[in-house]
Amino acid sequence: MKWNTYDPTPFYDEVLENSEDPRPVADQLFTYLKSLDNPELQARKAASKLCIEEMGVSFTIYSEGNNIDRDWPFDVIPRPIPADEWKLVGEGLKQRMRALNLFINDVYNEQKILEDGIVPRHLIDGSTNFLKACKGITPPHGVWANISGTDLVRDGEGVFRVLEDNLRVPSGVSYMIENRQVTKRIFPEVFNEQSILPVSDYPTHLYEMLASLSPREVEFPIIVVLTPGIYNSAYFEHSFLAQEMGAELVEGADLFVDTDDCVYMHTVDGKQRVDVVYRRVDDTFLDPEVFNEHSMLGVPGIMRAWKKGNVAIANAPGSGVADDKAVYAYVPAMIKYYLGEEALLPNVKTYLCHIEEDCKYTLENLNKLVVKPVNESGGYGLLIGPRASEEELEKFRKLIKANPRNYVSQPTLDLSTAPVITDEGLSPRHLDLRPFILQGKDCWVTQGGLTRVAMIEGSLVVNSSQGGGSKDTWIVET
Amino acid sequence: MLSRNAERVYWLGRYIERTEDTARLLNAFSHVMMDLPASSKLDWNVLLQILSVEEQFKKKHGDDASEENVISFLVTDSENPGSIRSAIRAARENARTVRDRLPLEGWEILNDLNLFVKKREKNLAQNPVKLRNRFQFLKDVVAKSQQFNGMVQSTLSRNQAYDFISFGRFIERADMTTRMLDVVADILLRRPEDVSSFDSHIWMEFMKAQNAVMMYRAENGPRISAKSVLHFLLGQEDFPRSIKSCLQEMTRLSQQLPRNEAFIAETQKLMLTLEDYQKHAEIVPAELRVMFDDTQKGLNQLHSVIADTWFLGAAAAPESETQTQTQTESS
Repeated sequence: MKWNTYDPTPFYDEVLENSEDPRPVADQLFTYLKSLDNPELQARKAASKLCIEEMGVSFTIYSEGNNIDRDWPFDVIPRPIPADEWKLVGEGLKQRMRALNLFINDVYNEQKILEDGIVPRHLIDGSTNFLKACKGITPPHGVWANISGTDLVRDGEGVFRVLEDNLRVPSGVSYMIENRQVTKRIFPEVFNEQSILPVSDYPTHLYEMLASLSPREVEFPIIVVLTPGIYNSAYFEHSFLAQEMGAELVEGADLFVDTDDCVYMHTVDGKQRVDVVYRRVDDTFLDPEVFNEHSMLGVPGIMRAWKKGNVAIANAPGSGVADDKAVYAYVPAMIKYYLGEEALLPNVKTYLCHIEEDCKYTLENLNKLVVKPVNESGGYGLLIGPRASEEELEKFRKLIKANPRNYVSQPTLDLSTAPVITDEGLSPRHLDLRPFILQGKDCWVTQGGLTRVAMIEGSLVVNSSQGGGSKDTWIVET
Repeated sequence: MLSRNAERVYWLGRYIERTEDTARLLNAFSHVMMDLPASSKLDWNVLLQILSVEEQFKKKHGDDASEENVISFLVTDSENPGSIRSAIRAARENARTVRDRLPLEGWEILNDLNLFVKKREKNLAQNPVKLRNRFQFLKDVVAKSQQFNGMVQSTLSRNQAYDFISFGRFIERADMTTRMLDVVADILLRRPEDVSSFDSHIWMEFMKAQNAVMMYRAENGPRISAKSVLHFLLGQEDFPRSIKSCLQEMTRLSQQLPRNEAFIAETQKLMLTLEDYQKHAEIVPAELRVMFDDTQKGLNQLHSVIADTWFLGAAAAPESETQTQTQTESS
């Protein structure tokens, strides 16, 4: 396999240091891949596709309508990261989560950080994610976002930066686990030669964390995974995690809140008490008694049960108040305020359009910036300045001027790349990384995470809901 | 097990049985039509009567109950909820969300069955509407359904999932048998002498549809009469496709379910109806129709009792005895 046709510059490549030499962490991987010619490489790619089909790893893309069993798009070449680097990243992630959870708890209770003017009040008051129904509540261990998916990117210098925090219903962890299963079947030889940290223990840690939230102190608290159903794009993951944890997979109608304000499941044997709900349903659909009254996905009265402390909900409703691109910019300030520490993991430089000079800068440099609405997920509604037409730029100029509070901008990043297998051989593609952080009684970070790859050459959009693919992520002990 | 999941596996059981029994019926009928001389032939319309889909058929094809229309309506028409195609799709959809309750191959077999019918429908040369493709096609559908049932029998733990998938299978089987006997018996018993000389042959073909010929002969010898066939398919306790056997099996399985009193009472009632009828010395078509009618109503009632007792239709359900000591996967 000729690598000198693979040109990783001008971006930071995860596997290659320059067009000749691999990075130290990728040394063995590189040697192994070099020994394969293109037909062999294509054969491995085909084998991985077959493996995924057999395993039934699937995904739904809403725009594809009826096809709810699309195979998970996966590139077989792993993305390696040195273990000692990851240790520092892990500490940074835990620090960040602790501060964010302290923030959320503060904002729904005393609001000290707002009183002290560290975070502008209007960001919270004006936010649709600030749920008044959650005021005055302190969930178990004071933790609201029990599961978070924090997206990381490497900039042009190879430094890991946080791109955003996903604190509501972050997904992708099951694919992280399945990706490893596939890689083990396709490249088994490499695993023998290197020490790669395991990822399949996630469900155990998830179970322990959820169990630590139980209101009843029993040996086996009853945990359920609440799914919107088979048409949801992440249904596979809901069912996977439920299975791995030995938890029941339920939909709204399977649960009810009884006159004792406790949550129960309808079973053949009668009603069964539920202790913890791992909900994969959006906040506003959770309880038609309190939020969207037309929701058929939720459980009427579950907020009553939650407020009384009769059931734990992970992630707690209202966590989304911190899942906001403007609040993101204040996280280093939160870490200072609550923990008295400097942020170990840097943010990406962010311009907040509600601040006049940031707004001015943004409008003047629109064609160099990425503009994001403060509140949308999945990569929709973005403007990528350098790639945009004059028409799109004008459209965003108008949108920003009309509602500056709804927009933030960031410089376009030179996201790092890694090789993917195309029909012609290896070619670089941009990627990011989503590790998962669990917080209940204790705080724990995944060894690696889901690496998401933009499958189209030059594209920076990695989201799976828009056709991105993924890679196995290796934390390698050297 | 979650009430909703119990309902899903129940319907899975019903739809697979429907698939198999419909295929058997169509096969038998096609054979009958081939063997009989023109004067004694039955109408293709008879199939529509048996499956109670005359109304829907009329909407689509009017009065043109030709072989081609009837077969395509009952096999490949995805707009007919009672077609083989629709039954398989429904089976698969019900299984989709309870995949983890079934042995691994379960989902694969259902997928395979679904694709099989889909492909045959699209490929005109292999389309089962054509007589030369039909027998093999229907035989294959039966075989694949049996594969699914075989997997259930040999690898599904005897838990609540097993109970409900079996309920579905037995109710559907009893229902289909009732329907078939009801219509065929009525037609044959009313036919004038000159055309009915072939009737024992027709009875034989319908018994073949139930895989009952050898078992019948072992019990009754080679002579076939309406009475002996009816008694066999209604009440032969040791034959697994007889209605009585279906009811007995369901009663046995329900012993391990909670709040089963209403269900058991209903099955007992049905068995009494059958036993009462079997005491009659002669077959009188009018009485036969009443008996079949009562049986059908009884089966519908049985279904309602199942839904009210164990599915989400149940009103305020009593507290479970298992409580905190068990994991959620109690079945």
